[in-house]
Amino acid sequence: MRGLITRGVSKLASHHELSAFLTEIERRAYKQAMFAIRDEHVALDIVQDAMLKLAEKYGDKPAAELPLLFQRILQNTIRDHYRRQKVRSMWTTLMSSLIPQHDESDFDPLDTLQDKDNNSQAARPDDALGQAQTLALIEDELKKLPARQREAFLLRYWEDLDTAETAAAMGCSEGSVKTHCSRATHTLAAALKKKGVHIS
Amino acid sequence: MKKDLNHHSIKQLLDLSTTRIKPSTLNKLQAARMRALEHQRIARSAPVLSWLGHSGTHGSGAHHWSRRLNWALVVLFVACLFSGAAYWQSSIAEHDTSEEDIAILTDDLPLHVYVDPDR
Repeated sequence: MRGLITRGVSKLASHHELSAFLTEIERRAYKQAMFAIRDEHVALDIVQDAMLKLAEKYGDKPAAELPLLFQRILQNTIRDHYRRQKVRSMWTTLMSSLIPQHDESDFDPLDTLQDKDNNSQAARPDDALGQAQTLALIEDELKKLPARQREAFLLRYWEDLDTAETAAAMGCSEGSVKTHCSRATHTLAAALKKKGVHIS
Repeated sequence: MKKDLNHHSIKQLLDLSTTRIKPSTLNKLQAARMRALEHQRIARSAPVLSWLGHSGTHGSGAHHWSRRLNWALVVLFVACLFSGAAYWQSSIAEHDTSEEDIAILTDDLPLHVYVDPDR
């Protein structure tokens, strides 16, 4: 794992160490939340909640434990958001069936997650740089992945967690992590191949 | 556009994406970080007699056992204190009784024993 993460070191995190850790992680955490939620404000709220929970509840833990704790908190916060949305959506549906129907259709935030023709993604950069184009493709395809596959893929290959750590962060078995990662890689490879990009 | 990717190059591209976050978003992230740091949990001060069980900096497991040892020692100390007090009380009572017994046997009872203080 990156930066601060030194295995075997169990010194309690100082204020400075926690600050350095959060500084290092905040951008990636925001991007992870954006891939999952696709709403800038909600993604910011989620990252803020995760940071706050880490500082409040685990601020006195050893610095080496912070990355895994933070990932676990972040993923749980994202999942909690999904659940709340689902419940809200269920109540909205229930209420709309009880009250007279309006012409305007109800907006279900979950639809944006499942909609293959989703148009809410950011516009592709006009600068047409090769790197930017490839990045945009990858980000698009990451957003389309099922949540658990994306989570496993990002934790394993972006956050550099090993299989056991990813399993701990996701609250599942190592076998499930391997399956999720494999499926995510295949889905990404297939999607990118259609656009002329190959994953080896 | 780059045609061949692997996990490492995907990671590099994703890292690159973090440099393109809007400044306004970065400011909000910084504010969130500052707010979190204001609420950082600080390790509590060591419990009573912690120095007895302390042997340097521990990992979470060792720290847990150290805390249990400290509490066990505190409980042991309190138990010793109570049993000591109880023993002291009983020995004083026994000493008083035995002195009276000896006085009765030797007909050496002081005068005030025969006087009824209520009269």
